[in-house]
Amino acid sequence: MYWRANRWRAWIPPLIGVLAMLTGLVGPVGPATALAAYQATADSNESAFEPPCLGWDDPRPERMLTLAVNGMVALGYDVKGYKGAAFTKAHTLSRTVNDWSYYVHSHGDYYWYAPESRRYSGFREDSGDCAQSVVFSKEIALKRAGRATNLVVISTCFNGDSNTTLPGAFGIAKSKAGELQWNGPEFYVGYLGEAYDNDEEAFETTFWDALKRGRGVGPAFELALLEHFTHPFDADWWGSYVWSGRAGPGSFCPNCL
Amino acid sequence: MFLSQLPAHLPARLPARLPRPGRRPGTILLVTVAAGLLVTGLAGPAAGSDPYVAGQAATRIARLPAGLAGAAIGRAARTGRALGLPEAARRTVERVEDRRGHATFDEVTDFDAKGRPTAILRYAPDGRLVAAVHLGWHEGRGQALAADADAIRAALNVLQANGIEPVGQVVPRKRGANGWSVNWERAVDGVPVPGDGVRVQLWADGSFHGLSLAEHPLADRPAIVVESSVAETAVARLLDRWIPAAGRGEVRIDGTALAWVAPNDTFEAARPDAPEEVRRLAWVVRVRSIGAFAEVLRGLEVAIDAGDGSLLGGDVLR
Repeated sequence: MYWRANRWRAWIPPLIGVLAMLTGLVGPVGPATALAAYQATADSNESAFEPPCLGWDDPRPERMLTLAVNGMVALGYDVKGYKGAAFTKAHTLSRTVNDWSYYVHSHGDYYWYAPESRRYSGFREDSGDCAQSVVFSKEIALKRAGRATNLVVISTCFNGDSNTTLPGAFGIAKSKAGELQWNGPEFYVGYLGEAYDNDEEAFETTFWDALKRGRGVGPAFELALLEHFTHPFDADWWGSYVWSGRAGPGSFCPNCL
Repeated sequence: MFLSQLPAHLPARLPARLPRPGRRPGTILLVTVAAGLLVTGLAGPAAGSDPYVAGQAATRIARLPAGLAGAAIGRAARTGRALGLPEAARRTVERVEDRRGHATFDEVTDFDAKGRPTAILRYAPDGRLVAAVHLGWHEGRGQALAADADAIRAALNVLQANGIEPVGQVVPRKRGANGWSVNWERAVDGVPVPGDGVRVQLWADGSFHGLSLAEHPLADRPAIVVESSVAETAVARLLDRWIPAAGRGEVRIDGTALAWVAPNDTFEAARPDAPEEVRRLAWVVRVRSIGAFAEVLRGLEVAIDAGDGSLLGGDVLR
């Protein structure tokens, strides 16, 4: 009898996940792709940091793109990386409709949005040249139309600030669900204020590595913050601390059972 | 010898059935193994011959022999009590090689009775505590610390409970709802070692959140340190080369100071992906952009070797 009870217990979490998927209990509807392939996009602005825009070739944008792509693959996403002329505003806004996860390394700020005479958070495209348009959170929000996202890592300045408008664009509320809470399978990471690239890379190397080791998003964030930063670096998160980071809508709260 | 200590060029798993001794293939294999050991030694692959490349695993994980694992778990129990961590129902331990960070540590994970991870503690192979974190989100469990002095006092309590005596200048920083960060940056003869020292993270109520310690090896101090003006002149020349003419007038040197830094590949992509382990004395020249060019490049730090004036690396503010 004991053996039977234990055997059934092992099936409870996946069954709850499947039931939640079928009944829509896991939160807002995700992107419109087939459930089997969870599309993700990783963009990195390299052209801004190589000739002719600047006179040296900074290897970091490509390296951080590699880290993100590998990390997302390990979490089960169907990810494609874009840089140079392939990373344009049009490309990002087109892909975002079907993205379950998104990573970007670029310039970021709280930019002036002329059509509404107000500021929105955003980041710059690469576009393969030195005239790089801003991708505004407002534009991402319009494209996604409230669809949920799994994992969003914004590797720019200012997009972890309390006033950032990017989490909402990806359907992630700026609230923290701790050990016994659940906002759904979602997690947003951004950096506060100005952030130097060395510190961002140190953070992200550890963050993706911890996720690959199965630590889950909250502990991965904590381990990344233990790195030895050379400036007053800080990052923040919103979403579900206990989520695994794995692709798709079928995750459940492992601590809430 | 543990399998993880084999030289990097050997397969992780040896063939299950080796040809019998005396046969030529087996002889060749044994000779190759012996030659490999003679070249690389028994201490495992050196960083120089096996450099970290981004995209590879940043860490290598190994099981600890039972005796060492037991010692690490015993340390974690003591540290947990000193830090006020929840009582662990179960602990696991792994040896972690941080390839980018040039560090090896024993990582203990605490679990509660329901199997949930509650804390992670890291120890250097010699048993020193190098990092700890209380997992979870612990906002608003008690009265929030009001001022910098309260945060420093709470951080000192954390350190003293673990026999750690911080030195140097303390810098407390409020992190909004995330609490506080209190940092003692390491300095040697008055020269900072950025990234080294002790950093304590506290929840808003002053309870323990995280702790990390670092002390990287330093190269010999140069016999003669060049003047800061030598570094600034070198950087001005680099900026003439690096910044397009239209923006050059908006990019200025903002300050210069000595620091012990890790040489890196920021300006020379052919260098290794990981920053070097040994810190070198450098003039760090800070560069800031103004006007429209700040949209292209907010700032730079350019590290110039304080002894020979060569370019050591730097950092970019996008």
